[in-house]
Amino acid sequence: MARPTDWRVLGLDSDPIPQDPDNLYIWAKSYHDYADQVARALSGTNGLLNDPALTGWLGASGQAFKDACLPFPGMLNTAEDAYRGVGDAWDDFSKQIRTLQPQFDSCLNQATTLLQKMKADGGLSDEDALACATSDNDAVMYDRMHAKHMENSSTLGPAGFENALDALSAYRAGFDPLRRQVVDLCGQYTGAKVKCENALNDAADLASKIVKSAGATGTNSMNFDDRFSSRGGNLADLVLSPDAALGLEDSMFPTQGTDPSEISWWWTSLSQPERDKLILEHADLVGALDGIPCLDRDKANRAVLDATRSSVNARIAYLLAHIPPTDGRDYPNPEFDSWNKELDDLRAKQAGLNSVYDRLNNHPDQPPAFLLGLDTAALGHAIVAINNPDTANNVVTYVPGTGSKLGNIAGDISRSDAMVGAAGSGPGFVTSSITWVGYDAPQNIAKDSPFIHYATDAELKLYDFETGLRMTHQGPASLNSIIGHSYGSTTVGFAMRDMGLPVDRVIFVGSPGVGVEHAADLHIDPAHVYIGAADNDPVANLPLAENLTQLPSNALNALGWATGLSDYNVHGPFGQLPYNPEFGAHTFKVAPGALWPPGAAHSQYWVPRSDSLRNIGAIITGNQPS
Amino acid sequence: MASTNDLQLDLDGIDNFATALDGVVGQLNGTGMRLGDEGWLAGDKDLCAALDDFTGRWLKAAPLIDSYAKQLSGMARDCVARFRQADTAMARSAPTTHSGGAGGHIRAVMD
Repeated sequence: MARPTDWRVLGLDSDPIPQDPDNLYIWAKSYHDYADQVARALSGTNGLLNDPALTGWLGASGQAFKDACLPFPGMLNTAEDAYRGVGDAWDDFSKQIRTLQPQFDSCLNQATTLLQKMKADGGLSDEDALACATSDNDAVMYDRMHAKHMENSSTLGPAGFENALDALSAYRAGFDPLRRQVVDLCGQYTGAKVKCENALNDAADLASKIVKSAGATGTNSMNFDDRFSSRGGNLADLVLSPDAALGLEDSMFPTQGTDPSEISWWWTSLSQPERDKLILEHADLVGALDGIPCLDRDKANRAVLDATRSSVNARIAYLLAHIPPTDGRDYPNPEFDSWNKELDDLRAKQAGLNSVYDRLNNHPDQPPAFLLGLDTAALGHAIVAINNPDTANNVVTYVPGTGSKLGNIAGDISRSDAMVGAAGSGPGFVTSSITWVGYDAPQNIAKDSPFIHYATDAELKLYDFETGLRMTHQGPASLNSIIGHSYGSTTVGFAMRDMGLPVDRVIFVGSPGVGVEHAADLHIDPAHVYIGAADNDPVANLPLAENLTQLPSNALNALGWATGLSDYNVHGPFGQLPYNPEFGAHTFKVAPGALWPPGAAHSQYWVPRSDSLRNIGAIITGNQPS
Repeated sequence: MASTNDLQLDLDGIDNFATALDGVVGQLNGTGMRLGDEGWLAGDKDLCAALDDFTGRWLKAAPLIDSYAKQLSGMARDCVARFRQADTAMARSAPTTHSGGAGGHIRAVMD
């Protein structure tokens, strides 16, 4: 039977108990059926493990194999418990809904009857009757009726007015017990819902037991398998202790190179106190792991930031207090040169650290920022997200190019802020933009940028970072994009070409080439490859090698690509220029950019209210650019 | 050193165990990890979030069960192959050792 839809007379915006108990019962049955299926697999497995072929396999190697088998029935048992638990939860919830819904509906029917009586006896419109019914006292009712009476629109005569007031007052009082009953029913419904929710959460937590049993720290049964195989030439070496096969220590860190998915599972398997302990004692390690949720990474990296700022500041103070003597003369002074170089390096890093700290802590008027990576190795690296990527609908990673480093990160973070602004926001619609200075970028456009090793060295780091984002995202999958600027586009392109990145869309702006001749070679649908190239951007319009002599001398000097060009593809130093139609990507509208000073247009893709920024905002939110 | 009786091994049986284990796990339908239509929750955000969390975490855990089972069956097969290889080698070097040959029972000092 169809349920009532208008609940306003009881002061409710909508049906307070909208679920269909029949559907929930079907759900309960599905989960129970699946649990039964797992139970059959468990029964079969137990039978196999007791087979004489296994029980008769004696000796240390047989024992080691049986020890390796031990966790497996437990895994199936856990899966069965989880799915049966969810089935039970839906079953209970379904029964509660089935019990409560008629009571809710009965209250509403009684209230509707009262409402109709108020309407008829008070000569009121639907709207006035509803206002009277939902008011806390008789004053509203009197005002409404009096207004009708005074404007002669009431169907009651003057004599009926006072009588009707008394009757309606009695009707109105009749709503009170109904509303109290509804409040009580809502409480019962909420209790049933919370119970169901808790059961789902408990069943979800059981998944962590599987991770613990299988091991996600690198010392799992896969290692046992490897050892078993690698030592097969000597049967005596098949003697393995159970600890070797299944030795799990929750606090053990994943080894270097562990896949972010394993890191994610490992982290999930830890209890909250274990995670807190690791963040406290090993903030630098936790903060650098792709696959750990962003909130935890942020917590760890903020601790790293505080410690790093302190140590850098202290070192600068020390250096300034110990200036090597120069005697005021101009002659080679290696000690002074070394001191000066270290001071310059530290001051640049100090500026970057302060920029990061400032964005994280001093801008409550802007979207929140999260620190997903930080270190001062080489020129320093940092990864800063605007909005939490784990909960955002759209996530874009911005990879800057030549000259990017910790010390220069302020401008790059501003670009991320600009992209979040261009994406727009609303209830349930959030875009996160991540500034990824996680690689050693070239610093000099003439001496460094023509070479590819900066890009190739970054491939795995970028792949792991993007994979980690996918692993830690909560709820429905986000639309993930990546945008590379200048040499950053080359870095992104190389990673996509060689490893494939788990992104939905890619944007290249001011790109000198991305390492491929065609967008189709990037392991992504070319329809989702977008190019922004300003007419006056000399990098995006880098001439073909054979036309190099036509390059304006000032631009040539600014770019300094001449020596590098001879080593690379004739289409450009890093393959086909993306803005060329032959590349096969979607080119979006970008303003021509300034002509002077030379190269200025190369840095104008994020200018506020520009076509390029508007189009970037459209792309990263799943829309089409112009 | 263990006695030879303790070391008797049913290689065919272990091989069959591996095959049967694959079959048992194959009964589990991975797609079963995602059940029903979330629309049935009528937009209740708390329940939807709890269900998403459950489904997401079990979609990650399920492949672990699957791969663990595959590792076990793979290890069993690997052992059988190596034991057979050792059995053959020992049969060649020690003519008085009884060997069941392929698919038979080996008697060998393994510890």
